[in-house]
Amino acid sequence: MNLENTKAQMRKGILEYCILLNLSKKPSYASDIIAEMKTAQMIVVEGTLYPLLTRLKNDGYLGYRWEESLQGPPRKYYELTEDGKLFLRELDMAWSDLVDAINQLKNNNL
Amino acid sequence: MKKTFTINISGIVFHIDDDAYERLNYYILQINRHFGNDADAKEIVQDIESRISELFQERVKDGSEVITIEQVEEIIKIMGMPEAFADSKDEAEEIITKTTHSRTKKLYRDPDDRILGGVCSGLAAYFNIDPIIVRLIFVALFFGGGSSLIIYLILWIIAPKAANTAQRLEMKGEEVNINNISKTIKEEIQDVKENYQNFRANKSYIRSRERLDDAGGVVISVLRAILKIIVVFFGIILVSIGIIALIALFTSLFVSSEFIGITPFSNELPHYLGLFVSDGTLTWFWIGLTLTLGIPLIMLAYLGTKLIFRFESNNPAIGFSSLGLWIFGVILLIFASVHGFSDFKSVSTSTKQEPVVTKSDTLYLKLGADEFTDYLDSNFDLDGLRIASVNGKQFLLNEPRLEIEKSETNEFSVVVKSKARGRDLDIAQNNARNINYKFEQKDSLLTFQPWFMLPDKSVWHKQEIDIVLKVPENRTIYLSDEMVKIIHDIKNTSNMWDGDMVGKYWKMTPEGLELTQRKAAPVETSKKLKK
Repeated sequence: MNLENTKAQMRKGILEYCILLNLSKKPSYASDIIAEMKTAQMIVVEGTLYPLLTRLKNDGYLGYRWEESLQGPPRKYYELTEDGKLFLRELDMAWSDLVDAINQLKNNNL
Repeated sequence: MKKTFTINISGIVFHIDDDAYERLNYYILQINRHFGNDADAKEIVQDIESRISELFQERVKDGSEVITIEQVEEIIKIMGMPEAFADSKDEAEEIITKTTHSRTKKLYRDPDDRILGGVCSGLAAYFNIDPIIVRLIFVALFFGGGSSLIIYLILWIIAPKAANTAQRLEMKGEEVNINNISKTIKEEIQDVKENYQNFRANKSYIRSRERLDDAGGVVISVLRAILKIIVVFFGIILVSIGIIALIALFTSLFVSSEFIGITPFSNELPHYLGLFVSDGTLTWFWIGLTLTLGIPLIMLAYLGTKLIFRFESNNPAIGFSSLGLWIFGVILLIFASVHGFSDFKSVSTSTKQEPVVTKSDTLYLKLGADEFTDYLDSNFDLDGLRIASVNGKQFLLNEPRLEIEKSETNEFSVVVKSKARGRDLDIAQNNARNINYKFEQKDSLLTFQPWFMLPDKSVWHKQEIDIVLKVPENRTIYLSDEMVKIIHDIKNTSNMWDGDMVGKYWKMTPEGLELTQRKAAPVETSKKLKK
């Protein structure tokens, strides 16, 4: 068992949830999401994010619009769709269930 | 000092060092491979590219700086290698795409190590052997039949040149050993085994639905392995057929007329065609024929090599241009045929009448010596039309036809009617006049040549010679035995067949030709005979 690997697996599992959480506040574009994820130490390499965003978009949880940028190419601004909001709510519940479960396990052990 | 390129990433222009460019290009290629080829993948790669573009922009402030390899490495580190992108849901699929991609090795021409087009070194890279070996094989094959020349030219045309580093890497591929084909097959068999083992291991635990899926998986991988073997096998067959047929076609057109052992008419058809079709038409005909037969064969060999090496041609023009050439060939053939047929549009006859003056009461008809018997092509007989080859030259010969009619005058005479066709009346007339036919008279002996000959360099135009011998009343003729060759449906009072008429004396009476025993035979005898 590799510690780093296990940690990475844990992060990977909740990465989608994190992206949806991030977008629930305001629409933002990929680089902003990356910046936040990086500060939160959720991702190591940036490339990870793009396949996820595309998949969430294709599943109908995210939508995007193009916006011109002052420097560089036009940017994709992602936002949650109605489906996405519902999905996020479910994930919220799943997350609190998880946290409860973990807490319970911890308390029992003590 | 370094060479730089100007590149465009998501619409932004950058200057980039040569080595940095190749590194970046390979990185993007790796990403491309990782995600495969569908629409999703394109979108992801586009997004990643625009992020790379953004990261570069942060590093290149005033736009005139050149991106270095260190910067590229830094960005690759930020973006991460595709293997690190692993998206939990797609992990399983990813492994599959990865294994299929790792085996990809494509046939390219190697521009760095070439003598002509880099075909040999490309092949050498493909099979992971020394180029000198491939070159030696090619040279040996060239001197032993020349087949390698065709293979070389085909590969030169269809195999793309390895233009950049990524393609060069693809050319050399990952660890694929010399026996690429058998290795692929072995791996397929391994896959099949594993699949089957998984299937066996899980069998008792899973629901029937899943079992069905697994069984499907086994069947599919078995089928895939078989299919790959069939495809390669098929490719080899196609290439062989294409190349052998091409060689056969070219030798038959330009060397002798044997087409894969089939000899239509005779083994000198190409020479003979010149006797039937005028030179201009013939040239178009040959070009048209070469194109209509050759191009499908080349395409066959092309398809075969594609199947064997599984490379993608980077040139869609090949398909279009060969289709275009093929259609052009068909049009040429049609044009040549129409042009050829129009050579037969008009018909004209030329008649020469010569009196035969003799004191004798009887005219002896005989056939001249047949000087062509030994030179005739025994395979060729087109309704009496024959070909004689004398000293390497070919002549068209045909038999004249002799008829006998009653003369309106008191003299014998011979009418030679020559008939021929041509593009227009003048040409037809000319063709008719040019026919070479002679007969000789010596006292009461009339000698006919057994053949009429077309003049040298002239072309068949359905030339015919009809000879009419006009016999005055009460004069007699004798048909010698060999005359059976040229006499044609001669009317006689005893309705005798041509074959029976020879070797006999015939007298012209008001009713027509009448058989007589001897030239002095009384009329009664012949009448009795008739009864």
